[in-house]
Amino acid sequence: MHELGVLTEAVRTVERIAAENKVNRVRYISLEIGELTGYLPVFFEKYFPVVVENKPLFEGAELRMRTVRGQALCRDCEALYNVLRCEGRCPKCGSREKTILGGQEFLIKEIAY
Amino acid sequence: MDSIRIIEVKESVFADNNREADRIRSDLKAKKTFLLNLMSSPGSGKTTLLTKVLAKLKNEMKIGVMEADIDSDVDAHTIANMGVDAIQLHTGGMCHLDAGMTEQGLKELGAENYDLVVLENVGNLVCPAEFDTGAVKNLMILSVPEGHDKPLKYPLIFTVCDALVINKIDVLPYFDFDMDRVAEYAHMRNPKLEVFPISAKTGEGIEAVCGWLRQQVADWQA
Repeated sequence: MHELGVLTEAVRTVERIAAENKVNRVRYISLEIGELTGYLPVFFEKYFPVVVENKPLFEGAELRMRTVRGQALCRDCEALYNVLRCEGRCPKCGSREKTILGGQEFLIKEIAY
Repeated sequence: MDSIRIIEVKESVFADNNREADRIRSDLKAKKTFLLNLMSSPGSGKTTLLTKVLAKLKNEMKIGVMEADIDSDVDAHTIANMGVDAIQLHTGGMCHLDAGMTEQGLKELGAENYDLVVLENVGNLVCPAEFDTGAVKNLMILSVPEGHDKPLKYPLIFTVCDALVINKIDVLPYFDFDMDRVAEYAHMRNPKLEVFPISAKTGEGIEAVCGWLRQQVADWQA
Protein backbone atom coordinates (compact mmCIF):
# COMPACT_ATOMS: atom_id res chain seq x y z
CA MET A 1 0.00 0.00 0.00
CA HIS A 2 2.82 2.37 0.90
CA GLU A 3 4.50 1.85 -2.47
CA LEU A 4 1.27 2.60 -4.34
CA GLY A 5 1.12 6.24 -3.21
CA VAL A 6 4.73 7.07 -4.01
CA LEU A 7 4.64 5.20 -7.34
CA THR A 8 1.55 7.20 -8.34
CA GLU A 9 3.52 10.36 -7.56
CA ALA A 10 6.45 9.11 -9.67
CA VAL A 11 4.16 8.37 -12.62
CA ARG A 12 2.61 11.84 -12.29
CA THR A 13 6.07 13.43 -12.43
CA VAL A 14 6.95 11.38 -15.53
CA GLU A 15 3.71 12.52 -17.18
CA ARG A 16 4.63 16.15 -16.49
CA ILE A 17 8.16 15.74 -17.88
CA ALA A 18 6.90 13.78 -20.91
CA ALA A 19 4.41 16.52 -21.74
CA GLU A 20 7.11 19.19 -21.44
CA ASN A 21 9.33 17.23 -23.83
CA LYS A 22 6.48 16.34 -26.19
CA VAL A 23 7.00 12.63 -25.59
CA ASN A 24 3.92 10.54 -26.37
CA ARG A 25 5.19 7.03 -25.67
CA VAL A 26 7.55 6.09 -22.85
CA ARG A 27 9.72 2.99 -23.33
CA TYR A 28 11.02 2.75 -19.82
CA ILE A 29 11.42 4.69 -16.61
CA SER A 30 14.36 4.06 -14.35
CA LEU A 31 14.10 4.68 -10.64
CA GLU A 32 16.80 4.80 -8.00
CA ILE A 33 15.53 3.48 -4.71
CA GLY A 34 17.51 3.91 -1.52
CA GLU A 35 17.19 0.88 0.74
CA LEU A 36 16.62 3.15 3.77
CA THR A 37 13.34 4.38 2.27
CA GLY A 38 11.84 1.02 3.13
CA TYR A 39 10.25 0.71 -0.32
CA LEU A 40 10.27 -2.78 -1.72
CA PRO A 41 10.90 -3.02 -5.49
CA VAL A 42 8.72 -6.13 -5.68
CA PHE A 43 5.66 -4.00 -4.84
CA PHE A 44 6.56 -1.35 -7.41
CA GLU A 45 6.66 -4.12 -10.01
CA LYS A 46 3.29 -5.36 -8.86
CA TYR A 47 1.61 -1.94 -8.79
CA PHE A 48 3.15 -0.40 -11.92
CA PRO A 49 0.71 -2.00 -14.41
CA VAL A 50 -2.19 -0.86 -12.21
CA VAL A 51 -0.95 2.72 -11.87
CA VAL A 52 -0.39 3.16 -15.63
CA GLU A 53 -3.56 1.37 -16.69
CA ASN A 54 -5.47 3.30 -19.37
CA LYS A 55 -2.58 5.73 -19.84
CA PRO A 56 -1.48 5.47 -23.51
CA LEU A 57 1.80 7.25 -22.65
CA PHE A 58 2.91 4.13 -20.78
CA GLU A 59 1.66 1.44 -23.16
CA GLY A 60 4.31 -1.27 -23.19
CA ALA A 61 6.53 0.75 -20.85
CA GLU A 62 8.95 -0.98 -18.57
CA LEU A 63 9.90 -0.06 -15.01
CA ARG A 64 13.60 -0.35 -14.23
CA MET A 65 14.89 -0.08 -10.71
CA ARG A 66 18.23 0.18 -9.05
CA THR A 67 18.67 -0.15 -5.30
CA VAL A 68 21.08 2.21 -3.55
CA ARG A 69 22.78 0.83 -0.45
CA GLY A 70 22.27 2.58 2.87
CA GLN A 71 25.84 3.33 3.83
CA ALA A 72 26.89 5.48 6.78
CA LEU A 73 30.06 6.85 8.27
CA CYS A 74 30.35 6.61 12.06
CA ARG A 75 30.94 10.07 13.55
CA ASP A 76 32.80 8.63 16.51
CA CYS A 77 35.20 6.09 14.99
CA GLU A 78 34.83 6.80 11.25
CA ALA A 79 33.95 3.21 10.40
CA LEU A 80 31.96 2.74 7.19
CA TYR A 81 28.99 0.43 7.59
CA ASN A 82 25.62 -0.63 6.19
CA VAL A 83 22.82 0.99 8.19
CA LEU A 84 20.24 -1.74 7.60
CA ARG A 85 22.48 -4.69 8.28
CA CYS A 86 23.84 -3.09 11.46
CA GLU A 87 20.44 -1.75 12.58
CA GLY A 88 21.67 1.84 12.64
CA ARG A 89 24.50 1.23 15.11
CA CYS A 90 28.21 1.23 14.35
CA PRO A 91 29.44 -2.39 14.43
CA LYS A 92 32.87 -1.25 15.63
CA CYS A 93 32.14 1.13 18.52
CA GLY A 94 28.36 0.88 19.03
CA SER A 95 27.67 4.58 18.40
CA ARG A 96 24.43 5.69 16.72
CA GLU A 97 25.96 9.02 15.65
CA LYS A 98 26.45 8.81 11.91
CA THR A 99 26.51 10.62 8.63
CA ILE A 100 24.32 8.82 6.14
CA LEU A 101 26.06 8.70 2.78
CA GLY A 102 23.28 7.21 0.69
CA GLY A 103 20.19 5.08 0.68
CA GLN A 104 17.54 7.69 1.46
CA GLU A 105 16.93 8.71 -2.15
CA PHE A 106 13.92 7.97 -4.29
CA LEU A 107 14.77 9.38 -7.70
CA ILE A 108 13.53 9.28 -11.22
CA LYS A 109 16.83 8.72 -12.94
CA GLU A 110 15.83 8.70 -16.58
CA ILE A 111 12.95 8.41 -18.94
CA ALA A 112 13.53 6.61 -22.25
CA TYR A 113 11.29 7.11 -25.27
CA MET B 1 13.54 0.18 -35.17
CA ASP B 2 13.98 3.82 -34.21
CA SER B 3 16.59 4.74 -31.69
CA ILE B 4 15.92 5.14 -28.00
CA ARG B 5 16.23 8.63 -26.64
CA ILE B 6 16.76 9.30 -22.97
CA ILE B 7 15.80 12.21 -20.76
CA GLU B 8 18.11 12.44 -17.77
CA VAL B 9 15.87 13.47 -14.91
CA LYS B 10 17.78 12.71 -11.68
CA GLU B 11 15.10 14.33 -9.59
CA SER B 12 13.39 13.23 -6.42
CA VAL B 13 9.95 11.77 -6.99
CA PHE B 14 8.71 14.20 -4.35
CA ALA B 15 10.17 17.31 -6.03
CA ASP B 16 6.93 18.33 -7.78
CA ASN B 17 4.91 17.88 -4.62
CA ASN B 18 7.47 19.80 -2.55
CA ARG B 19 7.38 22.73 -4.96
CA GLU B 20 3.59 22.78 -4.78
CA ALA B 21 3.73 22.66 -0.98
CA ASP B 22 6.14 25.63 -0.87
CA ARG B 23 3.80 27.59 -3.09
CA ILE B 24 0.85 26.81 -0.79
CA ARG B 25 2.86 27.99 2.23
CA SER B 26 3.78 31.33 0.69
CA ASP B 27 0.14 31.79 -0.34
CA LEU B 28 -0.98 31.05 3.24
CA LYS B 29 1.60 33.50 4.58
CA ALA B 30 0.09 36.26 2.44
CA LYS B 31 -3.38 35.35 3.71
CA LYS B 32 -2.13 35.15 7.32
CA THR B 33 -3.61 31.68 7.62
CA PHE B 34 -1.77 29.08 9.66
CA LEU B 35 -2.17 25.51 8.42
CA LEU B 36 -1.55 22.66 10.85
CA ASN B 37 -1.17 19.12 9.53
CA LEU B 38 -2.30 16.61 12.13
CA MET B 39 -1.04 13.06 11.66
CA SER B 40 -1.19 9.77 13.55
CA SER B 41 -2.19 6.15 13.18
CA PRO B 42 -5.92 5.31 13.14
CA GLY B 43 -7.57 5.42 16.55
CA SER B 44 -4.87 7.38 18.38
CA GLY B 45 -7.26 10.25 19.09
CA LYS B 46 -6.85 12.90 16.36
CA THR B 47 -10.52 13.88 16.33
CA THR B 48 -10.86 13.72 20.12
CA LEU B 49 -7.79 15.92 20.63
CA LEU B 50 -9.13 18.29 18.02
CA THR B 51 -12.51 18.65 19.74
CA LYS B 52 -10.76 19.47 23.04
CA VAL B 53 -8.43 22.01 21.45
CA LEU B 54 -11.21 23.61 19.41
CA ALA B 55 -13.39 24.00 22.51
CA LYS B 56 -10.63 26.15 24.04
CA LEU B 57 -9.57 28.08 20.96
CA LYS B 58 -12.73 28.61 18.94
CA ASN B 59 -13.63 31.87 20.67
CA GLU B 60 -10.09 33.26 20.38
CA MET B 61 -9.51 32.86 16.64
CA LYS B 62 -11.27 31.88 13.43
CA ILE B 63 -10.78 28.16 12.84
CA GLY B 64 -11.58 25.86 9.94
CA VAL B 65 -11.05 22.11 9.80
CA MET B 66 -10.42 19.77 6.86
CA GLU B 67 -11.04 16.12 7.64
CA ALA B 68 -9.31 13.70 5.28
CA ASP B 69 -10.43 10.12 5.11
CA ILE B 70 -10.56 7.37 2.56
CA ASP B 71 -14.32 7.23 3.10
CA SER B 72 -17.21 8.53 5.30
CA ASP B 73 -17.81 11.96 6.80
CA VAL B 74 -18.31 11.14 10.49
CA ASP B 75 -15.32 13.26 11.55
CA ALA B 76 -16.51 16.37 9.71
CA HIS B 77 -19.91 16.01 11.40
CA THR B 78 -18.27 15.72 14.83
CA ILE B 79 -16.41 18.99 14.26
CA ALA B 80 -19.35 20.79 12.64
CA ASN B 81 -21.51 19.86 15.64
CA MET B 82 -19.18 21.96 17.79
CA GLY B 83 -20.00 25.01 15.73
CA VAL B 84 -16.65 25.00 13.89
CA ASP B 85 -16.54 25.11 10.08
CA ALA B 86 -15.48 21.75 8.69
CA ILE B 87 -15.25 20.07 5.33
CA GLN B 88 -14.60 16.44 4.48
CA LEU B 89 -11.95 15.50 1.93
CA HIS B 90 -11.98 12.07 0.36
CA THR B 91 -8.67 10.76 -0.86
CA GLY B 92 -10.14 8.33 -3.39
CA GLY B 93 -8.53 5.28 -1.84
CA MET B 94 -5.15 6.91 -1.23
CA CYS B 95 -3.68 6.58 2.24
CA HIS B 96 -2.36 10.15 2.41
CA LEU B 97 -3.02 13.70 1.26
CA ASP B 98 -0.62 15.45 -1.08
CA ALA B 99 -0.13 19.16 -1.69
CA GLY B 100 -2.54 19.24 -4.63
CA MET B 101 -5.39 17.67 -2.66
CA THR B 102 -4.70 20.00 0.26
CA GLU B 103 -4.85 23.03 -2.00
CA GLN B 104 -8.25 21.96 -3.36
CA GLY B 105 -9.47 21.62 0.24
CA LEU B 106 -8.14 25.07 1.18
CA LYS B 107 -10.03 26.57 -1.78
CA GLU B 108 -13.25 24.80 -0.91
CA LEU B 109 -13.00 25.88 2.73
CA GLY B 110 -11.98 29.45 1.86
CA ALA B 111 -8.69 29.48 3.80
CA GLU B 112 -8.38 33.28 3.70
CA ASN B 113 -11.28 33.54 6.18
CA TYR B 114 -9.42 31.71 8.95
CA ASP B 115 -6.50 32.29 11.34
CA LEU B 116 -6.04 28.57 11.81
CA VAL B 117 -6.87 25.70 9.49
CA VAL B 118 -6.36 22.20 10.79
CA LEU B 119 -5.88 19.39 8.31
CA GLU B 120 -6.63 16.04 9.88
CA ASN B 121 -4.65 13.71 7.67
CA VAL B 122 -5.53 10.07 6.94
CA GLY B 123 -4.71 7.81 9.90
CA ASN B 124 -1.37 6.30 8.88
CA LEU B 125 2.22 6.66 10.14
CA VAL B 126 3.89 5.98 6.81
CA CYS B 127 2.58 7.66 3.65
CA PRO B 128 1.47 11.03 5.07
CA ALA B 129 5.04 11.60 6.26
CA GLU B 130 6.33 11.40 2.67
CA PHE B 131 4.08 14.10 1.26
CA ASP B 132 4.49 17.73 2.29
CA THR B 133 0.95 19.13 2.38
CA GLY B 134 1.99 22.78 2.46
CA ALA B 135 1.28 22.97 6.19
CA VAL B 136 3.23 25.47 8.28
CA LYS B 137 3.75 22.93 11.07
CA ASN B 138 3.20 19.20 11.49
CA LEU B 139 1.86 17.74 14.69
CA MET B 140 1.62 14.02 15.34
CA ILE B 141 -0.07 11.95 17.99
CA LEU B 142 1.25 8.71 19.40
CA SER B 143 -1.06 7.01 21.88
CA VAL B 144 0.06 4.89 24.82
CA PRO B 145 -1.42 1.57 23.56
CA GLU B 146 0.66 1.84 20.36
CA GLY B 147 3.91 1.40 22.30
CA HIS B 148 7.04 3.49 22.91
CA ASP B 149 9.02 1.81 20.12
CA LYS B 150 7.20 3.60 17.28
CA PRO B 151 9.93 6.24 16.68
CA LEU B 152 12.24 3.34 15.87
CA LYS B 153 9.78 1.64 13.54
CA TYR B 154 8.40 4.70 11.75
CA PRO B 155 11.32 7.12 11.86
CA LEU B 156 10.30 9.44 9.02
CA ILE B 157 7.11 10.78 10.58
CA PHE B 158 9.01 11.66 13.77
CA THR B 159 11.58 13.47 11.63
CA VAL B 160 9.10 15.65 9.74
CA CYS B 161 6.98 16.65 12.77
CA ASP B 162 7.44 19.74 14.95
CA ALA B 163 5.41 18.51 17.89
CA LEU B 164 4.60 15.09 19.32
CA VAL B 165 1.51 14.63 21.46
CA ILE B 166 1.53 11.48 23.59
CA ASN B 167 -2.17 10.74 24.07
CA LYS B 168 -4.06 8.45 26.47
CA ILE B 169 -1.66 8.91 29.41
CA ASP B 170 -4.63 8.08 31.66
CA VAL B 171 -4.13 4.39 30.73
CA LEU B 172 -0.36 4.36 31.41
CA PRO B 173 -0.73 2.01 34.43
CA TYR B 174 -2.09 -0.73 32.14
CA PHE B 175 0.63 -0.64 29.48
CA ASP B 176 4.38 -1.15 29.39
CA PHE B 177 4.81 2.27 27.85
CA ASP B 178 8.02 4.04 28.85
CA MET B 179 7.67 7.84 28.67
CA ASP B 180 11.41 8.50 28.94
CA ARG B 181 12.21 5.94 26.26
CA VAL B 182 9.71 7.34 23.77
CA ALA B 183 11.14 10.84 24.18
CA GLU B 184 14.68 9.49 23.86
CA TYR B 185 13.84 7.54 20.68
CA ALA B 186 11.93 10.45 19.18
CA HIS B 187 14.72 12.93 19.91
CA MET B 188 17.24 10.57 18.33
CA ARG B 189 15.30 11.14 15.09
CA ASN B 190 14.50 14.78 15.67
CA PRO B 191 16.22 16.73 18.48
CA LYS B 192 13.88 19.74 18.00
CA LEU B 193 10.65 17.78 18.46
CA GLU B 194 8.47 19.21 21.28
CA VAL B 195 6.72 16.55 23.36
CA PHE B 196 3.33 17.00 25.05
CA PRO B 197 1.97 14.17 27.25
CA ILE B 198 -1.82 14.48 27.38
CA SER B 199 -5.08 12.70 27.90
CA ALA B 200 -7.67 13.98 25.46
CA LYS B 201 -10.26 12.15 27.55
CA THR B 202 -9.53 13.71 30.95
CA GLY B 203 -8.24 16.99 29.52
CA GLU B 204 -4.82 16.68 31.17
CA GLY B 205 -2.12 18.49 29.18
CA ILE B 206 -4.53 20.02 26.63
CA GLU B 207 -3.72 23.56 27.77
CA ALA B 208 -0.02 23.05 26.91
CA VAL B 209 -0.95 21.97 23.37
CA CYS B 210 -3.24 25.00 23.03
CA GLY B 211 -0.41 27.26 24.26
CA TRP B 212 1.96 25.85 21.64
CA LEU B 213 -0.64 26.33 18.91
CA ARG B 214 -1.48 29.92 19.97
CA GLN B 215 2.22 30.77 19.79
CA GLN B 216 2.64 29.16 16.35
CA VAL B 217 -0.35 31.05 14.92
CA ALA B 218 0.85 34.34 16.44
CA ASP B 219 4.39 33.85 15.04
CA TRP B 220 3.02 33.08 11.57
CA GLN B 221 0.74 36.12 11.53
CA ALA B 222 3.37 38.50 12.94
